Amino acid sequence: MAVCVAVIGKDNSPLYIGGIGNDNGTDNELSRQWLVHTALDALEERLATTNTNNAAAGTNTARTDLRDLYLGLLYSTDTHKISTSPSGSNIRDAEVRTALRRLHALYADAICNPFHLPGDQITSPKFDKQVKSLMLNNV
Amino acid sequence: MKGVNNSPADREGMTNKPIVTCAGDWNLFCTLEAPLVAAIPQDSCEWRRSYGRVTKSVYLEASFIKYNKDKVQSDLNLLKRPILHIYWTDCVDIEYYKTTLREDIEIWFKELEKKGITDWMIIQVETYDIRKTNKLLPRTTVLDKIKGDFAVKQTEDRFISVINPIKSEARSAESWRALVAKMRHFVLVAYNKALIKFEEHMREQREKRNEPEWDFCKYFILQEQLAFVLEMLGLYEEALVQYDELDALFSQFVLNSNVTEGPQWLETFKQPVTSWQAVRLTALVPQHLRELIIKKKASLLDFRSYLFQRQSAMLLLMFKPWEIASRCLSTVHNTLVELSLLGATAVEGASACWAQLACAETLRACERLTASNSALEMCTAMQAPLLHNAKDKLHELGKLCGLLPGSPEPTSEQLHLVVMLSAGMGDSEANNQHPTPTDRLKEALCSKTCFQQYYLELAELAMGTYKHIGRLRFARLIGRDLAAFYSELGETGKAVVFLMDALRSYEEQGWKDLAAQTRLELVAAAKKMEDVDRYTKLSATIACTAELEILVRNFYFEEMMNSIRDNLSQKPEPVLTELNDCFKIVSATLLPSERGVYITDNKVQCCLVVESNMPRDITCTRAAISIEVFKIDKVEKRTPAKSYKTDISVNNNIGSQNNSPRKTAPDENELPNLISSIRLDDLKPKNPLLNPLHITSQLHYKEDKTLQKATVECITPKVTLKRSDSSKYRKPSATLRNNYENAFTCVNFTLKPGSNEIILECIAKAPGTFKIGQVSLLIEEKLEFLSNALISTKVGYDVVIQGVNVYLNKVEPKKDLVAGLEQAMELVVTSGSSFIQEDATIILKTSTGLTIRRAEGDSPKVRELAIPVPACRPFETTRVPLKLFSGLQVKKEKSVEHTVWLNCPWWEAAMEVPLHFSPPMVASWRLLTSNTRKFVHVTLKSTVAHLIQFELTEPKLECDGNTTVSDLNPKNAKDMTVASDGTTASFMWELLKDPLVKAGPMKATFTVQYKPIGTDEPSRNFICPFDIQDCTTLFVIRTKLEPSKGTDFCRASQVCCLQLSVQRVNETEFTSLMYEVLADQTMWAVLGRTAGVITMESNTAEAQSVTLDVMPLVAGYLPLPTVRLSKYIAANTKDPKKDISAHPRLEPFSPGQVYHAGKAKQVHVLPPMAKEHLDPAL
Repeated sequence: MAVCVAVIGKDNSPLYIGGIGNDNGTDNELSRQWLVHTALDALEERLATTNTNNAAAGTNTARTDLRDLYLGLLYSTDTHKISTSPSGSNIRDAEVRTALRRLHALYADAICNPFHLPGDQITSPKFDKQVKSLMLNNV
Repeated sequence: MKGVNNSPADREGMTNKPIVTCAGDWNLFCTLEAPLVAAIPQDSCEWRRSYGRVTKSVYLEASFIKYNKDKVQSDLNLLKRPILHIYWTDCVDIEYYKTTLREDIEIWFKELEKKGITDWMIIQVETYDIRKTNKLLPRTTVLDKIKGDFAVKQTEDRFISVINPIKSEARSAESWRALVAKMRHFVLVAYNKALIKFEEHMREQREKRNEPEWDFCKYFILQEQLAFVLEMLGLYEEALVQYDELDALFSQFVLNSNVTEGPQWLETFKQPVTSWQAVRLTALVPQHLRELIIKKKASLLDFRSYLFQRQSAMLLLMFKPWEIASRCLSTVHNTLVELSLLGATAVEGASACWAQLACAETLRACERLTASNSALEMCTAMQAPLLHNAKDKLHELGKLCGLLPGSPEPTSEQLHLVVMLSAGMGDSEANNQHPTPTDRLKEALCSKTCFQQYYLELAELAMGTYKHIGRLRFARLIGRDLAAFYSELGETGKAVVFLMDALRSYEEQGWKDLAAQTRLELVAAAKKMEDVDRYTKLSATIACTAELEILVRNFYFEEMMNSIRDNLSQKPEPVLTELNDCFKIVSATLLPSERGVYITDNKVQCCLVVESNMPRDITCTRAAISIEVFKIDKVEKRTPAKSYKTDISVNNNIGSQNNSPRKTAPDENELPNLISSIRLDDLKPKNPLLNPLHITSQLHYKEDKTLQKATVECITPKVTLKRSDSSKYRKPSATLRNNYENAFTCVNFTLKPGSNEIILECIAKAPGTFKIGQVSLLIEEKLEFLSNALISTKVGYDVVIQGVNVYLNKVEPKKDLVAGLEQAMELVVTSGSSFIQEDATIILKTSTGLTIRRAEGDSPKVRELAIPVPACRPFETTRVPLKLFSGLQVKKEKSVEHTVWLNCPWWEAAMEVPLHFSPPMVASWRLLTSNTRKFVHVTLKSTVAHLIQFELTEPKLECDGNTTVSDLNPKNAKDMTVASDGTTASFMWELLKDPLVKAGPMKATFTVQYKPIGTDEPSRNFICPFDIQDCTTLFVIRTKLEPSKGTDFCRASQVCCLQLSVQRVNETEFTSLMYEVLADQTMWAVLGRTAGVITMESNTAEAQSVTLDVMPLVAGYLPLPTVRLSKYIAANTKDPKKDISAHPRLEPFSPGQVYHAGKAKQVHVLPPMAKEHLDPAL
């Protein structure tokens, strides 16, 4: 199941990191942050090789072509798989794709807030709640 | 599966070849077998397949066996089944055919038909016969007969005649080539058929996969046959597809078993894992594993190893080692997941061993393959994650077996585990020069040293490779692992290096949680290293990290305070650290000076707003902002200061002499526009996303000028959102401590958490332009936080000198200074920003002619005056009234220039103050002549700019020599006044000359007493001397105009007679004179000569007369033409000594020597006579 969603800004800094699940020894928020952080390397490689016209601006921010939202599995470890966004070991491609599309919609809603400055961290509690419910529904 | 030959010797390696049976003449075939086997793989053949599959070019091999009717096998074993059947004969004798051969063929044919085999060939081998080819009519051959007997339309091409290459090689080539091509073709045709049939069967089998009795292992072996055949045909890619399908099928079963109850066969793979041998990445088929699968004894690891090896084999054959590397990781991950899903029991660490070995073997295979391959780069990219994984797995094993540094000696259970794990790995391949991964792993598990060596090798290599391929974040992650490892090893110094690198990259990209975590690790390392500086600094930073729990922050706050107290207090110098980690400078504002400008020796204040991130109050020992000199004004020497004009108004003295700095600053180009306040938020680059969109409205017209449409357009130039390149990390330069000798400071105050406003002060010492530089906060005396924030800004200020100034000012600035009168001035001393000590004396010296005295009292006027200045506080003014008197200078008319030198004790040189005095009045004189009498007329006027009136008394004219003066002035001349409003005074005297004395130049002096009206000043003497030239009247000229003869009146345009007479009235040596009539040409026309020379007899006083014809041009009262008389000096050729000139010349008389009696005379000229009076004469 999906355990962590991260929105990364174009300067590679995290705009939002939300995780669900219990914080036990190996699977805590910090360890997930490390995974997300290293996944950026894989993401960069992916973006460099796909060489899309609409330069991607982060894991899922502001990509104009919805079909391209999903860049695929970035890399995996024994316990986690890191896709362009949340993923779990048991989710099929299509499901991840759908989840990402919904996530993108949520993101778009969140940054439509006129008081949100682009590039700032997303602090909206609504966004947080919705993203977490998205992850839970993805079991 | 039935019929599979299980002997390993037979199946090891790539030994499958299409099997072709040979019937008929076996001996004949035997002679041809070798060339045939060699010829078939020499060329490719197009494989056309049904169902629209891609046509492939295939290289074939073949193995031939003797036809055995009992061994024609089932369709379902692709490998052992003969694919083509050939009947060989070299019979050329038709009779023999008819009797024997035909029957034999028929039996063979029937047998094939019975089994439904349609893939056969009948080959007749001929011997080349030159005679036969030359025959015109071909005989019916045996082959024709065979065809006739057995062929149907579709199979005609399966009957082939070939010339025996053994007997006549040269002639046989063409037919031989045709034969080989045919054989290839028919083999492929056969395979096509066979595969279609096989695949159908396979599909059927797969459809049954959910039936209880279905067995994956059976199915695996079945589908693998297809893979083998494809591999045999060189279609590795398609063979790989078969394995991938099997892989996916298996994975799906395992995953589903997690949700629903798994099928029975899956139990096989739940059996305990006993072997975790390394995968061997060769093209060979690992038979022992395959057997285990067939016998249903394979564990999950066995199965996965087998599958991965076969997939790798295909990839090796395709020369795609990088693909192996990329598949390796996902295989390892999947397998580990499957192991846990299936719950297969294994010794703890077995899976890690297997995974480690798989990664290591893959790396080895890649290295082996890419040593000479251009695919190196692609492999490298894949190697890094493999190394990473191998390293992680090794770490896992090390942890299990107690091999990590810092762990206690392995327990007996751990030692037992090592033995178990080593056993499970099996023996490594023999004959290997280099140690295999298995060897290395075994070795590593045996001793801590070997483990460390292997671990560090893998980690360093992984990190290096990650860096090489640009995955810096992964490299940093491994760096952290290494740091932890080194830290445990006791090499904290190495650990710190890795952690600092990681910290920097996290900070740079805004991963604050990660940075905070890394700092916690660093602080622990610093503690271990007893690096108190670093420990204190990091504690401070951690205490300020908002991402951390407040308890943690408080703890490190205390640690920082303790460390400062216990460790740093002995140090002479404070420890420097970054300000931005703990504090945020919100704004810096220079407070405006009360006096508008910042003045030397005065306070300049700066308000700094700082946000403290500390969890509690903290004492700031000293806050400082360094000052950077932008430009130092030259210290002006107070020497020749011409600019110190006295006409500066007294009330306006502050700042006026140096001008306001606010005015001068923009004039000089090199000066930046300094600002006095800055908010650091303003310095951030503007977010381009916040720019307004350019929306315009447009009207579009049709061709006939009617409106087509109106649009609102937003032209967005493709602003591509770019992710910033994270591959370049800039190295942060260490913050250098600025010079704080000259700085804004504020000492001993408390910094509260949150916003703090601090007023810092400094005393401006020198004039110039300054910028504020670095901010320093010294906390608890020993920890100094340095910013780098303000350096690039333009916050600055100008300082001007406002030292002691001394002016000599007019009391009434709008009035001129007048010479010859006492003028009031004052000495103004402004103390500026400094104190004037007691006993300071200013000495004033004046230039010649100027005297000075203090206004009060009746002190004498002197040329040097010492004025004591009272003690003065800053910005006070002392005024000393003075009186100045400039003596009148004889004959100086315009202005009198004087200078006053001010000698002040605080200046090295004297200050020069130029003063301009106007004379009170100006005298002019004229010499007037009446016949032989002489008069002097003196006029006085005043040129002073302001209104001033003088009362004049006792006018007097004195002449030297024999001349006496007769006063013609009225006797009540006391009332005479001269004023600067234009009132003038005139005086007249007659010069009475002794006629017996010969006249010559003489001097005269006019004196008069003056005093300003309405003052009680004493009268002063005004003197005006002048020289009078030789003025005795020598000649008198008389002119007279007479009408022409016969007329009574002078009329215009009528010639008149001008009588000119010159009479000598005094003795003179000049006898030769020239007269010139200078007539106004608008009134007079002189007819004839206008000039002439006359000679006066020296002894007679008789007048000489000349008559000239002149004509008045206009009517009216006309002044007579003037006459000029000059000395005529004739050309003297006789006596060259006396006069060099050979030409005659004129010399003028001095004024007064010639008196023109008729000068003011006018004649009445009547208008010209009417024309009719003249007409009769004509």
